Formats: sequence, structure tokens, C-alpha cells
Amino acid sequence: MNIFETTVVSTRIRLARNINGLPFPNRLRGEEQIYSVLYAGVKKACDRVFANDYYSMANIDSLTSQALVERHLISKNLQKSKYGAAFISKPEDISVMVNEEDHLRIQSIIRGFHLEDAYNNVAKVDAEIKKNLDVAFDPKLGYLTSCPTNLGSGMRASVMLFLPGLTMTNRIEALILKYQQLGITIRGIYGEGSKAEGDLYQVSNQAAISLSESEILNMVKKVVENIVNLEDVARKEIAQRRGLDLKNDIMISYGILKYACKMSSQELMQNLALVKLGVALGYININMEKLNNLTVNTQPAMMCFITKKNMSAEQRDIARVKMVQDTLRKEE
Amino acid sequence: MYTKQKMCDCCKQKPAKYVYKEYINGQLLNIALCEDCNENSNIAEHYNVFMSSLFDDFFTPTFAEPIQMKKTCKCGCTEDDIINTGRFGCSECYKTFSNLVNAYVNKLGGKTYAGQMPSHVISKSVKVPSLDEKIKELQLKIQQAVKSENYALAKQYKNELDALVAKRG
Repeated sequence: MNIFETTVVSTRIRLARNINGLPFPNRLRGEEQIYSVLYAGVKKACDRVFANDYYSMANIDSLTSQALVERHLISKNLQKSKYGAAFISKPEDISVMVNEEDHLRIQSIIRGFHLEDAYNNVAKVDAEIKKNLDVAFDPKLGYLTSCPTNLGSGMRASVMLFLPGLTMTNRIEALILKYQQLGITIRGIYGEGSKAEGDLYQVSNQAAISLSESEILNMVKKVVENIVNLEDVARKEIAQRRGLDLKNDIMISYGILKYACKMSSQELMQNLALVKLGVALGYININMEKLNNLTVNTQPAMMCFITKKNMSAEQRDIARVKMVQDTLRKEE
Repeated sequence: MYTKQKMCDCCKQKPAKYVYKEYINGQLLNIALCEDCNENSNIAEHYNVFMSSLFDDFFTPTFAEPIQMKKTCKCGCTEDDIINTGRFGCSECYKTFSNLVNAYVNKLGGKTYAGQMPSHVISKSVKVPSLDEKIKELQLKIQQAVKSENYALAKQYKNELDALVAKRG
């Protein structure tokens, strides 16, 4: 496995779009005809590009919506939006959020490092939406968005990275500060304000009015390549410096995952991060993608969603360990 | 009509319904009047009394038509809403509050959109300057900035020019 395969988890591109003549979501007060215009236009566009499931935030149960958040298919912001809705593609690689901060948030998430592919997915939906709805645009300002910081292409490219080396060597904070000044944000996996659980970080461009779509893609690509190379150096350094002690820590975590009887989501993320590092360093032979899937599938709402059971915290902790152990057994 | 309940600056008893505006030394000042004071009294007198209390004998009143208490977009969004929330209310707000937008864009170095144009905009024949046209425009701006001895601005244009020239290859 090369360094990119053990470091880059997924790639996400999102576009923010609004419709001319309609109040932005922050000023919508339940006007039925506005929603019907919006939903009809978006539905027509989505149906042409991908087979989809439709979710209305007014009718969705909290468990399903939380599971969508944990799978990064909708945002916490949309979950709270009374008039929000989402069209999600069947393979769950494209989703269109309606009435989030903007009328439309079109996003594509792909496993691995595939900025161009994710961009092509959203560009197709965007083009189809423009055929059905009058998208707000100004030649000097770009796409008009609720928050002016998103003016320009309205595009955010983010890449989820697993960075145990840079975290353990305490270099991540300096890196976050350095890139912040260069127009790049690095933060925890569940978006703004979230903690970097399991050494997972989102690297994304900050909004910039004058950057074109291709410039954003190139910028994020270069930054990710640079961070991945720094992570490679950091992993080699800690493996050399801590040697057997590091391997011992990794194997203890592996043992805990294999034999524990119950485990919280946070404990799992910590142990899983070490086991994934063990895979990256060649100490353990398990499919990295399966381990990445576990980080999402063992989140509280996802546990209940997959098992179709409404479980207490303790029941989830027990079921979580079982799910992990089933995966590890199949891999061994 | 106004959006907030403000009392009449004249009688100070009834809610104000009309607002008159005047710029003094670049500063915008308002006088708000209720329906009765507006109709039954000499407005100029009220205006004089109000303004002179602020500026003694300094001012020359000019009157505007009764206008809104605060500039309000058709979506109901006011300048205060945007400043307080950091969010615009609709696409029209960008025209209504162009002063805020321009200030924001200037703060970012006056740069404008450089990404792909949607086909519906292109089909409306919006003139998008080519790279060469942008370069010529910047060269002209540099000359003007140097002429007016605004070297900081000239340097900023020069940086933008260098970036465009590099882009053209």
C-alpha cells in the first residue's frame, strides 16, 4: 500500500447555489409555493443525473437524519432546517441539500483521492439544475451566496486525511496555522468546530472570490500531496524513534479491538487509529478501507440504523465491539 | 414604512412614520416624524429645531421625500440584519446593499470572479474581459496610479498584472 492509500480517506466537492427571486433560506418563513418551485426544479435535475432517495427534514426521524450526518451525506445545519430536504444518490456518492445555508448545496463524496471525479459529479448536477432554475450569478462576484465568504465559484474542495504521524509528532498545530494563512483550512472530520477524532482531518480551501474552479482543485491537490508527504516522513520518524514501543502500543490496541466486550465510540476511534497506523507500517495485514468504513459505521446513530434497533448507550457499546470483531475475523 | 417602532423626534409621544435625511459633513442624520407632526406642522421648523439642537446654527436643510427608516431589500433584509448575521437575504440584496458588497470586495483586494461563467449568463452576452483586455486595463491603472503618486496601489496592480502575464504564459 502506498502512502496515499493509507492516508487519504475520501474526497468531497461541494457547490453553493441560490435561486434568483427567492429569499435565501435564512429569510424563508414557510412559504409553500417557494418550496414547491425549488423542490420541483431540483428533483427534475437530480432525476436526470442520478437515481435518488428523497428526504424531507420535516418528516425524517431523528435516527435516520443523524445516520445521514454521520455518513457526511447531509450537514448538521440541514438537519436543523425545518424546511430542509435532501436528494441522495443510491450509491451515496452525490447529495443535493435543499435549504441548507444556501438554497442548494450540491456535493459529491468519493473514497480515495479523486478531486476531478468528484468535481465532474457535482458539475453535471449543477449544469442540469441551471436548465431548470434561474441560478443567482453576478459576473463580478460569481455565484451569489447567503454568506459573502462563499462568493465566487461557491465551491469547496475537501479531502479527509488520516494523519497519525503528524499528530503524534505534534506538528499538526503548526501545519494548521501555516495553511490557514495560505487559504487552506484543516479541521476535525465532522466539519467546523469538530475535534479531530481518530487522527482524521478535513483539508479544504477557504472561500476566495477570485479563484476559479480549476485553481481551487489544483491548490487543494498540491496541499494534500504536500501534507501526505509530510505524514510519510513523520510516520517513518516515529517508527524509527519509538520502534518496539510503538509496535507494542499498536498491538495492544489491536488486542483490545479483538477481545474487548464493550467500547465507546471515542475509545474505538483511538484504538482504530493505532491499528490503522499498524496497517500503514506493515505490522498488521487488514484492508484499510474496511477499517475506514468502521469509523463511520460504528458512530452512535449508524449503529442503530444498521442494526435497525433503537439501542441504549451500553447496548451500542456492546454491539460496536461485535461489529468490529466480525470485520476483523473476516479479514484474518 | 419603517421596520422598527421609533418615536417622533418632534412630539416624542407618537410613533414616527416619516423620516427625513440629511448629510452633514459626510455623516447621515435622520429626523423621524409622526403623521400628525408631519402633516400639521411646518416640517422645516421641526427640522431646524431638531438639527440646531445638535449642531447649533450650522446646517442648511435639504429635504428628501419620506423614505424608509432603513434601507430595506424586498426580501425584508436590512443593512443591520446583514451586519449582525453576516448573511444576505436574497440575490437582490447584493444590489440593494452594493455599498456593503463593494466594501467587502475591496477589503479582499478588489479582486473579482475568475471562474466559469454559467451558460445562461454567457447567452445574455455579458461582456467578460479577455486576459489580454484585463492586462491592458491593469497597465492603464498602473500608469494612472503612478501619475497620482499612489505607489502602494500601483504595486498592487503590478502584482495582479504579473499574475495575469504568468497565466497567459
